Amino acid sequence: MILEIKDLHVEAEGKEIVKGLSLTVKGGEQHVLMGPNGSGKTTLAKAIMGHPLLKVTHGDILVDGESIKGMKPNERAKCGLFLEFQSPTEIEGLGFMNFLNTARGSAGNTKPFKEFMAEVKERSEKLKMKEDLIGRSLNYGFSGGEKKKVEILQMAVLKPKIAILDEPDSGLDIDAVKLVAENVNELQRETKLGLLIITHYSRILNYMQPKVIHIMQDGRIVREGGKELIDEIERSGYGLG
Amino acid sequence: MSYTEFIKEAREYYQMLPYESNEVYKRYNVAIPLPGDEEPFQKTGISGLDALISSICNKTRMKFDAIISDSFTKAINGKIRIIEAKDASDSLLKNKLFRSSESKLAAYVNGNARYFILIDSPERSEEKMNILFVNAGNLSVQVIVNLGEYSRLRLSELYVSNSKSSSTVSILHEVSAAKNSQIEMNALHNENEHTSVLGLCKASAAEGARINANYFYCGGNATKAVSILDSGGHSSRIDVTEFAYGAKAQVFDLNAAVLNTAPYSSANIESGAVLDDSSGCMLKGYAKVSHGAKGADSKIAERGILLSPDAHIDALPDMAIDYSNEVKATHSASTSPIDLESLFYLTSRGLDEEKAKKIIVTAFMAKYISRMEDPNMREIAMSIMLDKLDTKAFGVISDITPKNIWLGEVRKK
Repeated sequence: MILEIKDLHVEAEGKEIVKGLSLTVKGGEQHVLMGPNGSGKTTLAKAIMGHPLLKVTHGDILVDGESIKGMKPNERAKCGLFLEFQSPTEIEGLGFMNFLNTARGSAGNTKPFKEFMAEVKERSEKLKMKEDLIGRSLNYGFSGGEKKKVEILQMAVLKPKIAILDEPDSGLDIDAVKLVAENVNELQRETKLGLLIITHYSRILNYMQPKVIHIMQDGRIVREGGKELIDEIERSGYGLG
Repeated sequence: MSYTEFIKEAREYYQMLPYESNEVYKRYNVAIPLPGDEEPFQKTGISGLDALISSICNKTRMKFDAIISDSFTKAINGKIRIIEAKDASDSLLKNKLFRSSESKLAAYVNGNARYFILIDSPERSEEKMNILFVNAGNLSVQVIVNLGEYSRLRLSELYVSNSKSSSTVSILHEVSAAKNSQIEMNALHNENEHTSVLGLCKASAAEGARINANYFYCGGNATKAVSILDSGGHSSRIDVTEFAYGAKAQVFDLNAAVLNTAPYSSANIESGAVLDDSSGCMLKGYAKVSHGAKGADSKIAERGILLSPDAHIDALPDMAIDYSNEVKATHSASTSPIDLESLFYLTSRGLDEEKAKKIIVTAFMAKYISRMEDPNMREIAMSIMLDKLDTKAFGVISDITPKNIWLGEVRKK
């Protein structure tokens, strides 16, 4: 699967946030998007997933050559896209397992329930999640780190083809960052998942093999390069020009 | 004073005076239509009622300890005593009227109560009771619960209406929880479009006692509920949950007042509503922390979801704190349409918008329903609420399928 973003312009409440951004992510590739706060990274991620309050004013988003601009979020999910939220919504009263079971049904996962449960158990053990988390309401009362793990667990079960991970490392301790990275890598090996990882920190990248690092500033990609770009950012910040 | 005079006086109280002096509450007020003066107890036929009750028992799979209708009553076992007002002693009638005369609504219901339901839980007993109330005319009942020390009682009440013309269900609960006793009171109203509901509850908790009161309202053209609960014993605890689902032009006026009058007492009011079409709801939570209530903890939270631009919720949390040192008192209120971010989150996982909306509303309802510890009532409440959400139909229960619904599964029609 190929996700292509072509000269994308996105507005939020009448203000242009993404100002002509192009990017291509193929299945099996790891791309990293870095940039200062307010540069438009999360807006881009949500626009790719079809957030109803974001308006694409120019450009296009293509999946395998077909425009998905007119698609609703659920249709984009069915195309194989997945967004790991920076701040996942808490929904008290909605059992996590029930939600995940409903979501996997929508994604066309018809595995028998017993197998589905076994998969959830296996994945949650790999993520070293507390056993009671999956029995609770969706994200309700979870710590920041727990929410991130639950997002990765959803991704593992829903098996998207391209995933956008919006700060998968925020709120995680050192060991958890490594654990999440290992789980993401494993999933990528298994499913040839294409990844666009949005992050502020280089630590998670110690455990990953990004093909390209993209630096986003003021709604545009201003630099692209390999892992060496990270060292530059660590030294000089985003004012590397 | 004769019995007829009692009724007349009670009616006059209600008709002449608002039951509260709060100016805001007067402005946001639902008046419940009252039965005509000429016929205090409107007798209705019981044709079809037997079949209806059998059907409800089968569908809910509940074992009822008593069945109360405006036309007949049945105490299945000896746990619950039912006394018809005409057979009640004058002292009981007078005492009740006198004691509740500060509340005009209570006086009204007292004056009209056709039946007294008496439940006495002995000391250190542990009991569960279920009552089915079937309104086919103007059902008016007073439920008196006395809990002995260290006793535990779960009282679950299911109300259904089958009236064919305009009618009012009026219920008054008087609960007295003795030292270290616990009561869970669950009331689920599933009325039809001809019915108005007037629900009143007065409860007091002695030292270490706990009252967990849960009220759920759906159906019915107008509902007014007033609960006054006194956390009067040291370290006593009162939790009140009120929830309404409304559609069409239904109106709800839900009042809950909790009084922290003793040290280290706690009181918690959670009110919620989901409203569609042009329905409306007033959520009026009031908490008072009195002098001497050191260490008291009082909370009011009012939440609502509006499914239609014509629906409205007036959330009016109110607190009065006479003792300001070492007490906790918080209140909050919020109403909104379905949260767009939650909707985006769920749809991004592949759920279509309609299903995602239902899940959000169902989860919201489940939060309140989960306050009941009675698993059977939780399933019935969720099933009925989901049915309303799908069909907006009022009236008796069309179907109950407990399987899977508790987990928030959206039932397929």
